[in-house]
Amino acid sequence: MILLIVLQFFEFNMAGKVTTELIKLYQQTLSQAQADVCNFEPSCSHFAYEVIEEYGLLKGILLASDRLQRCHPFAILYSKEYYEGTIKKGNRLKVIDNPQKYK
Amino acid sequence: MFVLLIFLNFADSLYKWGEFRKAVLEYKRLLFLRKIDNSYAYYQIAKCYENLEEFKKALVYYQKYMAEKNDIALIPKYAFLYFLTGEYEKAEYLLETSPTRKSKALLAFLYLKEGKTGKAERILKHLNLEYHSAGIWTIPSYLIPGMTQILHGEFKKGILSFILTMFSGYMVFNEFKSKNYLSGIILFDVLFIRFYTGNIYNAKRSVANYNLKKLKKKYEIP
Amino acid sequence: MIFIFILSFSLIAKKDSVKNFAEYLEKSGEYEFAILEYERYLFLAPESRDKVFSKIAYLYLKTDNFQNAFNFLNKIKTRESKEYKAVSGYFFYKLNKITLAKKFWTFNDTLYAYLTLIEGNKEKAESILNEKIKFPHFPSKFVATILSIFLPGAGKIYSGRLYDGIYSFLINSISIYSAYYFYKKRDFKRFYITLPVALFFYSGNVFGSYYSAKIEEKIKKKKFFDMYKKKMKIKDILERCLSF
Repeated sequence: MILLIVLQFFEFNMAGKVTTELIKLYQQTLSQAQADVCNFEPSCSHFAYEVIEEYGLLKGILLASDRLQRCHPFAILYSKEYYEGTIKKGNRLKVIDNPQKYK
Repeated sequence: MFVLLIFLNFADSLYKWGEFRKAVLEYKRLLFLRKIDNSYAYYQIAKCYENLEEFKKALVYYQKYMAEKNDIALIPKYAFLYFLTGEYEKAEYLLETSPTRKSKALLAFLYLKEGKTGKAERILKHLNLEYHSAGIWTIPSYLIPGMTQILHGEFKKGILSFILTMFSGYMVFNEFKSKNYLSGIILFDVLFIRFYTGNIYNAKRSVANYNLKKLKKKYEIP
Repeated sequence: MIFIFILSFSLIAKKDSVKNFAEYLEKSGEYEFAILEYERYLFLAPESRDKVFSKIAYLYLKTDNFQNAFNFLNKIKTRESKEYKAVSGYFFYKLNKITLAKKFWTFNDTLYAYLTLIEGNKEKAESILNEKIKFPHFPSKFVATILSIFLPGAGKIYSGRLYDGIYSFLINSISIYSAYYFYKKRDFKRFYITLPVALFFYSGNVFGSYYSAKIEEKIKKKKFFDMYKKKMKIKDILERCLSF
């Protein structure tokens, strides 16, 4: 409970900024060494970055966690119903999942 | 007639000054009043949208123009717009049917971007362009992670790939050595496989990037 | 030289041809260009200013440009006119302020009935369409959340997302089991690594279940109301009010 209150207090300040910087660091290092594995556009790390910046640390982390649990090959079956369609990137078809939808 | 010339001159002047959106409106007005050759207006509108980077709209008008005047010289540009808007199949279809070397080079470019290395290499061979075969040049990365990337000048990616793959491999080995089979399996799936397959994927990409650079230089592809 | 050209166009161009072209652009969905052309028409036909302002405000609303729409609505002098009421109501409808939109759309039964339908009252809409209306069933956000607390992924399956639910269940089972396994084995080094991971996924699962029920409700509502918007021909009524 105390942890939640502290997290809320830091929502617009340091903790959120630190987290977004860590995500940037991940994108520049670990992400570069991986294949193009994400089934969504924007990718999960970009999504996490945007939701933390837009909605704060707590909601951002929860949305990012939920996004990771939705990132599977069958997400394309829901592309018309729950998402904003698909887009072709390279030789892969990715599902468009707009962070603005989660206001 | 005089009025028509003024309208047309005005539209052309707006285009020349870079006022593309206003120019589109004036060309559309002339089309609406049926006071202009359709193909000229379609072509101009398409060029305006292209300059405004509204490629989907530019395509619509290039299609209308091509329906009236089958301009073969326009095919590479037209196909490239399909590529920019993500319609790869249409771009490929157009370029496959076009006989020019530039079209073939652009087709190889598209194939390389899409990861269809086999098809791209066949075209590069046909164009007598020096290229690296993905099949042969990714072998070093199977043996030493990151090697292919380093050999193609991508030092940062190569070294990163090497460090991460070896480190995750070491962690898996350590876990199995300590008989922590559950954590060993988890680390193997979550880390080692991810970085090793990523290394192979990036190796193929670095070969494709090398071939793309050669192609861009020779055929002046944007 | 250019200004002479522009001026000569304005003088030479016929009012009707400008108006016809503006309507053609509007029908083609080229709202930005239609707005420019209606502004040109305004210059040629200042006597129709209120009707043109209404039309321009309506087109700005179609492109979700609320600020400009508001600016043009404010320029309209005759506040009792049908056009003003139609566009003002549409403005508030677009902003999802249904109660305020209702105040303006009282002049037309169908428009008013559509708004009452959105508010949950189907009587008026039923009498206009002469058919029974059944509201769609939405998954309960509360039920989805509770299900996911007890069984990770169940809330998402309840909301209709089978594969999301299964995948969530697998991820949560593996992470929670790993944490439990290391705790039982008294391997606290690994336990303190796997516990935050398990918590991260578990909390995301609960939150995600709530959100998927919320989004499912939003999607179903939009489909339902869009269907009745088409049936009741709301767009046609608005465009008839704004025609000149």
